[in-house]
Amino acid sequence: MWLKLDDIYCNTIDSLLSKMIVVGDVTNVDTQISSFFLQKQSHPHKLWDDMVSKAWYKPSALPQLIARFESSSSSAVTSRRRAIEVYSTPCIVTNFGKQCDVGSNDDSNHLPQCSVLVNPANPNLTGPNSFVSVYIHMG
Amino acid sequence: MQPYFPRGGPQPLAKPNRTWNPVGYVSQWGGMDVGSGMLFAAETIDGLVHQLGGLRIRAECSLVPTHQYSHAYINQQSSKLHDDNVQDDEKRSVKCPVGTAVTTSSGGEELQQHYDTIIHTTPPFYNYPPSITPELKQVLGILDSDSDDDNNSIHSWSKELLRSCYRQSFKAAFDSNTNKDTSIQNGFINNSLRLFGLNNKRHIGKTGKRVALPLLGAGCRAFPKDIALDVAAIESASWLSTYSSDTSEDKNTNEGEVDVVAFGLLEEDDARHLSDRLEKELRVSQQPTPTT
Repeated sequence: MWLKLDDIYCNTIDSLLSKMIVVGDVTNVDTQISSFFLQKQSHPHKLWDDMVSKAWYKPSALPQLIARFESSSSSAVTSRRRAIEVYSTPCIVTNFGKQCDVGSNDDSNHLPQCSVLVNPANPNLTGPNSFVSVYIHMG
Repeated sequence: MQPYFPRGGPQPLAKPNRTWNPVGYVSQWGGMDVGSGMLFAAETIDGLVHQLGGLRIRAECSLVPTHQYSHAYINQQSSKLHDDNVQDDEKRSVKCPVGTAVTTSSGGEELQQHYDTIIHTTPPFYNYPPSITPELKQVLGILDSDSDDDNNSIHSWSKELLRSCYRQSFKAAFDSNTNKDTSIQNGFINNSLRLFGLNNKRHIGKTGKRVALPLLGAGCRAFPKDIALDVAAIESASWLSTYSSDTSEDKNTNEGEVDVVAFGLLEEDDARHLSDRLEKELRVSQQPTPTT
C-alpha cells in the first residue's frame, strides 16, 4: 500500500514538473525539485528515471541549432531548395514556433520559427476521442 | 482527454469512470493502477497541443472526415505480442489512422501564437501495431519485409508504419495537391465552426514552409530511441534528396525559397545522434552536404 501511494506521489511530482517546464513557470520550483530528488533517491530504478529529461534545467532556453543540411541544388521544376535543421529545445510546442525569437537579437537567424507543427497524435489517449471515430446511430 | 495512459500501450479496454481523481485515488483504468510507466497528458506533445489548442482544435478534429484509407485497417492496435485484451473499437471509421496524417489549424489562441497549422500523424505502438493486411501495405506504399520471426516482423511492421508517418507528414506539409484538398476540407470545417460561433477570422489551414518535427514514436508509442532516430534520419534524408515531380507545386513562391524541416529534440545528445545519422544517410545518397 505504501509503495502504491509512493508511486502515485512520484508521478504527480513528475507531472507537475513537466507542466512547469512547458509553461516556463518557476514558482516554487526549488521545493518541487527538492521533493523530486528525494523521491529519485528513494527509487533509483524507477522507469521514470529514464523518462525524465535534463531539459527541465532550462525551461525558457532558446532552441539550439545543432546541424543544418541543405540540398546542393534546387529543383528544376520549382526552383525551390530543401533543408533539414536539427535543434535541441526544451519544448517543441511552446518554444519552437513563430514566437521563439522573443528576446533574441543576433541569434534570430538560427532560430527555428516554424509555422507548421507535426503532432504525434494519440487518439483516445491525450487527443479527443472524437478524432478516432464518430458513430451516428439513426433510427 | 484521458487523465493518464500507459507508455507503449496497449490502449486500455475500459475508459476511466467519472470518479477518477488525478491526485492519486484512481484505482483502475482498464485494470491498470496508477504507477510507473504511466504518462500524463501534459508530458506529451499531443497533450500540450490539445491543451493549448483548446475547444477549437477539438472541434476541428471532430469535423475531420473519415480517412480515405480507413477501410484498409482491421484495427488500430493488434494484440499479437502480449495479450488478447486489446481494445479495437475503431470499426474502420478512423479519421487519422496509424501511419497517416491529417491537417488542421492550430485552434485556440494560445497555440496560434506559436503555429499556424498542425499536421496530426498517428505513429503505431511499437509492440502493438495495426494488423498487417495486403491492402494496408498497398495503400501506404509499404514493401514486403523478409523477417520470419513473429516479434521481428511485428517490429519491422511498426517501423514501416512509422516511416509512413514521416512520408505522409512531409506530403501534407509540402505537397500542393494535399494542401489544396486540405483547404477544401478546411473550408468545410471553417463553415461548420462558424455555425457554432467558434470560427475566428484568420485563415485556417495556411501552410508554411518551415515545419517543426519531433522524434516521432519515441514518446508514449515506446519505440526504442535508436530505432526512432534511424527512421527519422532515413526518411528525412530521403525527403531531402528527392524533389517533388509535381509540376503544379506552388508557383507563387520566391526564387530560391528553401523548404525546411526542423527537428526539435529534447536532449542535445539525441540531436547530435540524429545529426550524425543524417550525415551518414546523406553521404550514402551523395546529394547534399552539411553546412554547419
